Amino acid sequence: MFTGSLAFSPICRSWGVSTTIEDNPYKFASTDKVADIYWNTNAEAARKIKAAVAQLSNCINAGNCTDELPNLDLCTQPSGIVDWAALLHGVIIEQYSSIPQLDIAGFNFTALINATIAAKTPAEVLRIPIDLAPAVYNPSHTGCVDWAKIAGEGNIVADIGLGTSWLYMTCNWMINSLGAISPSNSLFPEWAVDVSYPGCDTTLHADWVGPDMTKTNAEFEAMYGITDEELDKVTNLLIVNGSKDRTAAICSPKLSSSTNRSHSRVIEVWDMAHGDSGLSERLLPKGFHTQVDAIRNTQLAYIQEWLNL
Amino acid sequence: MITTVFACLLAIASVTVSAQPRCEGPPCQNFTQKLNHDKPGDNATFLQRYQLDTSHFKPGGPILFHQNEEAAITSNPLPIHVFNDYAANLGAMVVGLEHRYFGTSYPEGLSVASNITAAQYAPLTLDNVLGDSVAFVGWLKSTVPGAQNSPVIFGSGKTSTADVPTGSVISDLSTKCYRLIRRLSCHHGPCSVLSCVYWLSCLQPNLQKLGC
Repeated sequence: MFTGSLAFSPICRSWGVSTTIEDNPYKFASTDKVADIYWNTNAEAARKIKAAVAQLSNCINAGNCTDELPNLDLCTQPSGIVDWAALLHGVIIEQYSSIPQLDIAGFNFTALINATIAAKTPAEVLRIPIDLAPAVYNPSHTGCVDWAKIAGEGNIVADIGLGTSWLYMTCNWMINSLGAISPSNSLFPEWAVDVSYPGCDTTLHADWVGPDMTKTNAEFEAMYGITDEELDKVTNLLIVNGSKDRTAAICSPKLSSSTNRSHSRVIEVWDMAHGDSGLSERLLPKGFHTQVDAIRNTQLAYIQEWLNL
Repeated sequence: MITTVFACLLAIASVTVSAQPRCEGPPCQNFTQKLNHDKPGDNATFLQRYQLDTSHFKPGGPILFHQNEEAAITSNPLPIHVFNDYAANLGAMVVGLEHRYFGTSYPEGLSVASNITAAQYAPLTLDNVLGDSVAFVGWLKSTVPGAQNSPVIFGSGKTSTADVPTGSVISDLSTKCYRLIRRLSCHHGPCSVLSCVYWLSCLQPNLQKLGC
């Protein structure tokens, strides 16, 4: 029925709640990608972020962050290591990851980089991604920041009216892991190396958890028919990823090269955010983003070839 | 520009107070969809929203089908999909189908506000999402004049993208739309329950002028 398919920034790897790199070879891929995004964009900013995040991580372990980073100016002090870890991973690193990923119009990531370069202390560096979180948006970085309001966004899908279906899917069959950090990550300290880090919060709705939760990544790929070998055989599939998007790291299947234009392909578009290639000129007008303009033309060319037009 | 912005704000205000945001672009319509595609004897159905634009369609031309992602179709309406940019060139129709269990595309008695049990969520499977696409496109081909032999190009950024010709799936966990809501609500003021794309499509031409 379908002649061809365009996949705009999909995810097709890093499935399940596997604890080991053997069970999920892509376990650290998305956070490794985030690190690359920063180093590729501005080394000075990346160096400052790396140092500031390391300082926060170290003081969490030492239990002295209140003294070590007083200028974070948090409205409420984290009460213990769990709270501090939530601030570091649930807020700061998640913000560092999602800001470039969702930088559809090119505003926040540039603002983040420029402000980081200008920041004078590690605390100032760390406040920047916190203040850019939508829940507290405060780009002038004034006053205290209600970090708990950001960390408490776990139910935001429901809160903003999308309902709970997304939560159900992530617990039942779209079980994916994005946030674990390798010991060799070039930007962030290691995290969840030997434990699972699922997108699903199994404590919220235990009865929603599906039977595939503990399958390995390879088992998921086989179940969905999306192994490298299978995707290599598929024709007329074009996967388009953005270089600012962490998900690009977990759906770049290894396909054989071919001169056949119907052979499945993966294209990564420089400076493009998540899913931008699926957006029309009405949303991103021609001339607004040169690379998006170019990939739109490329996608059209592929469709024309698939259809022999 | 100011007039445009005010018009947008007024439109957004009207959306805020209405139960259902209006559909941007072609009118939203309902398709009677099977609830369980893998149960031949099960005749249960639900109403699944879609948008269809045949203004550029020429008989035999392609169907550019977008399986909407994890959001209401009002948050992700047809005009913002790149397929719209291709329709005139290809003589294609463009269509978007709301993802089941989002927007208003729920089984009878359930809605976005419902406290849905695991049993009630049982039909929200990957196979059924794909089955929705197949059934709907089949219906289009049988009802739109000139579409019977039309080739179909499938597009999506989220669930059920990809290797559709062989029934496989690529999924995407990212929640672009809701994150956009969050992001833009901070740029431009309160719009937390608005259609993010309604907001975007309304203000996009003025984003730079607004200093974003």
